Amino acid sequence: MIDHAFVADADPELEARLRVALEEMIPKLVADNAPAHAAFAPTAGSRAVAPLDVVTLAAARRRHPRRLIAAALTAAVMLFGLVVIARRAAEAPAPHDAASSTAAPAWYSLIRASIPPRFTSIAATLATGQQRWFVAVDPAVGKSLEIRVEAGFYSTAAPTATDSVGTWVQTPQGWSVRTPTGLLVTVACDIGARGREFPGPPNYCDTASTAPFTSAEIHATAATLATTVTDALFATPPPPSITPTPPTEVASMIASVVPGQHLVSDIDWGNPGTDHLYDFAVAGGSGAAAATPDTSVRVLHGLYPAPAPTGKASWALYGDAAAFWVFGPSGTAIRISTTDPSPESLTRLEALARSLAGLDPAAASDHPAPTTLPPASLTPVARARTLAWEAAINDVVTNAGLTLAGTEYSPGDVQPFTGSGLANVGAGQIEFTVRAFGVDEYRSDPAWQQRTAGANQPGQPVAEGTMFVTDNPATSARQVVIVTPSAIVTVVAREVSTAELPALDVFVHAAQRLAAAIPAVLNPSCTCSMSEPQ
Amino acid sequence: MEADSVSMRGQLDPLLLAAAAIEPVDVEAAYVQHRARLIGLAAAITLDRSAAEDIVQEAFAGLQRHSAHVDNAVGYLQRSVVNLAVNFMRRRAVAARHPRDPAPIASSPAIDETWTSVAGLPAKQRAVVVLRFWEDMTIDAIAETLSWPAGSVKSTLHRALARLKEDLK
Repeated sequence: MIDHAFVADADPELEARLRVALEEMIPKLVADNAPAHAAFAPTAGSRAVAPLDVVTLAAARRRHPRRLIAAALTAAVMLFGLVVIARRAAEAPAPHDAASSTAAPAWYSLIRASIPPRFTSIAATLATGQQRWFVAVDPAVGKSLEIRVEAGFYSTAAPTATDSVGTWVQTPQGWSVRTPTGLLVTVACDIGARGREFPGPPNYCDTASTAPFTSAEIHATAATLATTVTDALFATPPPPSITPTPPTEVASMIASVVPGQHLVSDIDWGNPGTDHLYDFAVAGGSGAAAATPDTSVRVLHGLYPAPAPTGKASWALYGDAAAFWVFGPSGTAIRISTTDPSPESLTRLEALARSLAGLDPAAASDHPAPTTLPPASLTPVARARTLAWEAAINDVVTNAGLTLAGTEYSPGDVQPFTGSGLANVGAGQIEFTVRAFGVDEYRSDPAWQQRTAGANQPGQPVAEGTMFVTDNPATSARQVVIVTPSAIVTVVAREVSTAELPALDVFVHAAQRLAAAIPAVLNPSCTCSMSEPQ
Repeated sequence: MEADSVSMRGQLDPLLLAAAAIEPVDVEAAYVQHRARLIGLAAAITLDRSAAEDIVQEAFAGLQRHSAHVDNAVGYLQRSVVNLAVNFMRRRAVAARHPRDPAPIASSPAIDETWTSVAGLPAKQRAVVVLRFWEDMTIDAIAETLSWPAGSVKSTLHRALARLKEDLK
């Protein structure tokens, strides 16, 4: 049937039209946009290795340093429902005696000395002349760090900051830094549930109530690695070849528990090779498949020192997702993350993990997952700021008679806070942005404020600071900027037609309302309340 | 220029294919030769140049990692790019309406209309259309590259063409 329909539908004219359009438009699509940032491009002072300009920020699919958050209502539901626990095992697993007695890999001491003590067990997952990738695990709570040290690599992402260590890029899961000597060091921490849009603080490790590992700590870890790792790391021998369970058998086991499995990454997993890591992903889809939860399964070999085999898994539950490690004998470890954190799902997946790890799967049923999630006992500043920002931007946009289409922000735990929200107006958008000033950046000097606002005309004082208005209704150029002592607030029309352009009063009122809300966003622990603009 | 070294619109030169079958993949050479074309493929699916660059970089990272076992570098990269791009689109679909890169300016209304229709296709359909009519790949080659059954490729392409035909009539 399909063949017949396909043949019957052959339309040479349409096909020719497609070829012409694609041939013209795809190169333009690539060329029309801004060139890649050159901040991380190899420099003359770069380390003398064969250049291989490959970005390896695998987790950072989006280049933008700010995070995209779902629409306000969805985000609010997710965030307010973001309840986190990390259930510790009754006793924190001690390194497995047998494995501990084996000799440490040569790279172990080099990495171990540069990362926080709690990440006791480390596996090398890739070892080439230019790349060394590691996974470091905290067996007590099941958190893990992805560590990548690469020579001659660079990132095309927009740099977040530059300091004496190098040029930094913040990703949703962590940080990468390219040093002046040409090393690219990346440290990330997340649960790895594909299909999530990181609705919480900048990485999942921030949100665990019992063992937070903040973005700032990740930054510090990357800085330590970047300043202590030397060529000696690349001189260490790669991990020995292993003969793990054949991937096809592993895939079959996964498919039997999680129907619909297909591989999203690491599609060449069928070759065991010498890297000690296989990633499987079961991704939900669109339409009828949208209800399919995202599930990732990671099979890791060679964890040193090997944690004691798991008696019961340490789950990290995030309300709408969950992740855990199960440790098998001899340094085998299974990581499963899923967007279906129901007790039934977790019990089933833990049994799968135990099977993959060579443990008794029935033991998973002995430790059923909790049916209710206790509230988080720790609320990081970034999380509080997240909630404050989302409440503020939603309030401002709604008050303007618009609907929030999306918001992005950086939480400001390392760099000054930035946030933006978008509301669609016809084919265009109204953009609401906030950029907090750095320490000592603000000046009361009117000329400085005008320059900072990018305004052609002097500002006028308002309750929140100084307001600058740019207005040309004939061209839909309408923008209001308010410079406050703590931030600069902008409300601007983007490609909104003159017929659909909201009145200037809407822009003014929105900017004032957003400016009034900023103190509570920047300092969520204060009792600041959003006040109506005068 | 990169396309010059890739004959037949992205299909690896048969001599290179033959060489790849018996020698380890030269990732650096593959990067130089195919990166631009792959970014075009990824951009055509994601409509986002930044995401396209990241996707292609990730595909090359995968190739680097598995280079000892890959006998068709271009096929591997194309499959990675399509899978990663489709996954990116699926993820973005559940996020807020993130503004896309502006559409490039076409040289004629007909091309603009055609491109707008192509851009409106679901990501998987767009991927197959791009592989078929931009990369000039056969149904069997697409099926092999994507590890899909040929019937799935045909039905996906059928749906895409039917939708385009409806849009453009």
